[in-house]
Amino acid sequence: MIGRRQILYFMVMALMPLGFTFAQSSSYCQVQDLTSLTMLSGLAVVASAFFIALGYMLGEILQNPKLLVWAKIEMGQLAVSALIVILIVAGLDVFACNMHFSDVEQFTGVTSAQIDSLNIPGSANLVDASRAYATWLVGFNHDVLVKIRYNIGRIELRAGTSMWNCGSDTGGFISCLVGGPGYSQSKYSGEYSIEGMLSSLLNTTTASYLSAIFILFTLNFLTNGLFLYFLPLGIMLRSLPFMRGFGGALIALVLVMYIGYPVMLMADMFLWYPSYTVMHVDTKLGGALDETAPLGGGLGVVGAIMAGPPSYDSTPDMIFLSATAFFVTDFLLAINFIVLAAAAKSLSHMIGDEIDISRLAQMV
Amino acid sequence: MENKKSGWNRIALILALMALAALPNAAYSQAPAISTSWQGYSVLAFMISVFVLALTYMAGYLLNSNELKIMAHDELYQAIATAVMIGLFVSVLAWVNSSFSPGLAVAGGQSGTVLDGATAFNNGLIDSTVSNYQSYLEKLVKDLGSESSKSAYCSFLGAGMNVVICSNMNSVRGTLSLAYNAVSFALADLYAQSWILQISNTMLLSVLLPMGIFFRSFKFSRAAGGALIAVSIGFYLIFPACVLFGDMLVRTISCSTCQYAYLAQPPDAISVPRCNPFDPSDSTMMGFFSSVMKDNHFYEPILFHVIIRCVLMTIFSILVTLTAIRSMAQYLGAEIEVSGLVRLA
Repeated sequence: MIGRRQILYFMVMALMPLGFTFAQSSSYCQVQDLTSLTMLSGLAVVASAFFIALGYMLGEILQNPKLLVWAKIEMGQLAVSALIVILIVAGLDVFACNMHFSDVEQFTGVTSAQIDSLNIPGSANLVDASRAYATWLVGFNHDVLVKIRYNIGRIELRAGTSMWNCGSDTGGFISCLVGGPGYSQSKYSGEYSIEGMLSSLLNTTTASYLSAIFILFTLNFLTNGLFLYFLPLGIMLRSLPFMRGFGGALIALVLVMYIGYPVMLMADMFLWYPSYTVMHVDTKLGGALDETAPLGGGLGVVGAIMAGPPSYDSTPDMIFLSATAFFVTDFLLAINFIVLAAAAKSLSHMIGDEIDISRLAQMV
Repeated sequence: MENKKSGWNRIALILALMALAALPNAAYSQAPAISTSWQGYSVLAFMISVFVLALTYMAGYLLNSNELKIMAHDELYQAIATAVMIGLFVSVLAWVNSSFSPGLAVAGGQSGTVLDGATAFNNGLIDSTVSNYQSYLEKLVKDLGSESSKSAYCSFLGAGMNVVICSNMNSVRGTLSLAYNAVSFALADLYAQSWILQISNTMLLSVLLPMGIFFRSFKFSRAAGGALIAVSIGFYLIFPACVLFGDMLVRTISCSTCQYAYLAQPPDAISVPRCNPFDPSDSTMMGFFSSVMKDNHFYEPILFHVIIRCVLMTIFSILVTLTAIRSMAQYLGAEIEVSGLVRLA
């Protein structure tokens, strides 16, 4: 007589290869080595089962009831681990890989015109779309950085310019001709104060730029399998005495970082990007700057003298851009990590030891 | 007896599900376009989670697994609890908006929701006050630099002398630069605050709240869902209310009880006098120094706006919001760590 538990167990075991095949067919969002990962996970299950079977046989030989009970419990836990792996692979497949950007767009009600400038194809999956957004975010921070740096350079040029006055103040134009008295003046030297303020903005924006790079690189490392190998390792560890908690924590980390992280990045994008035009970010940022163009154009120094010192952009606009870069990169990222830390903590508590990734948020 | 009880439970469950099926219609009747209404998204997210739970219950029935059935049962209670909390939030929101609307007409310069009032107040502070101070101080430091850099040169028979008589004006340059920096960063602070209000007004409830409702309905994602709901409610309701409350505090206290009535006035208009590099007379300069440094009608209103109205009130709003988010998250099943965000603030 086959009991219900056995039926459930056989169903899990029958579904497991199906889950792995499912993942293989979708090639997990262009991660080339997922095939080997799923194979490794399967291998980990088989190896663990083999190890437990050995324990069971040893228990039979030695007639040791403790060993027999241990083997039975671990076999049940192995089935649980296999089920978790199937769920993770299916979750990755459904949420991260096969949910299209256009579907999310429709769900949030954001019209494509608002989001078109990001150039994310509607058929892109969640991971690709979040990577495209992270790439755009790095570019945006860089543009703000360049704008501030460019204006600091201009102000430096202006502030260092001095002129000799020998006109009406000092006896008329004739005094200029005979080398008479006059006075020198650095008309724009007061702008050193503005330069100081812009340097502080540059520091803040540099921190935002580094955070954006952190987001992109983390995503790239994740999608290229940074933590994926924790999955087979977690399965193995869950079957070892005293290591079940640690194994569960590793599995929870994979789940949070591979599904939660791209989902939260997408949420960030849908949160603020529709306001990009409404808040006039594009107008304030302006066109691309040519940092290599000579100041005086083709005429060199003469052209520079004739053109006069270059003017600089509006400082409130630069302050606004720096605040925007900080908000969309640092502030939203911090909120992401608050949510992810909460998810990781409760999830790992459910299937293993509690992990605390809030330290990562603090580092960010 | 037990079978009869179980039968009633099933009937009750079916009736509850039928009642839930009417919710999208209710949402439609309130907002014709479901795609633009956060209430619609929330109902949709709730229905999806109930649907998934129903599937789980069916799987339990099929496999005759009591564990699955009990789990689906418990989770349904959690989903209903989430729906009740959201209903409570909607009620509180309606009450706050209706109760505070008359006050908002004064505080924010326009009637409407708390969020509208806070947005109008913040934009007003940026446009009418801090931007003006920023451009005013920018002009001052530029003019000061221009005048103080003048140096006269006289030569006779090859011998010459350079006299930097205007450089004494530089004595106030550091102070003015500091004030300029402070006002600029206050402006950055207000711009960041305007971003929070902007996303709260447009997408916060349409994106984060439905995600939170959906995630909170399942045991393994309950913490993430609770955190998302808490963040949504915190920034949609608590934060703008704090912004307006802070403004009210400042308005009430600054002018009526203290002797600094001029704090709320604009700073005295001063201009940098023209410096003659050949005339060492410093009477004009002394007048300028006096208006900048000695007379408190220039710096103190600026500092009041920068330190109290911009920096302190923003920190106050963020701190109260984060504390509220943390407390709400605990009730919603999430233990969140907000110290990182507090440091950012």
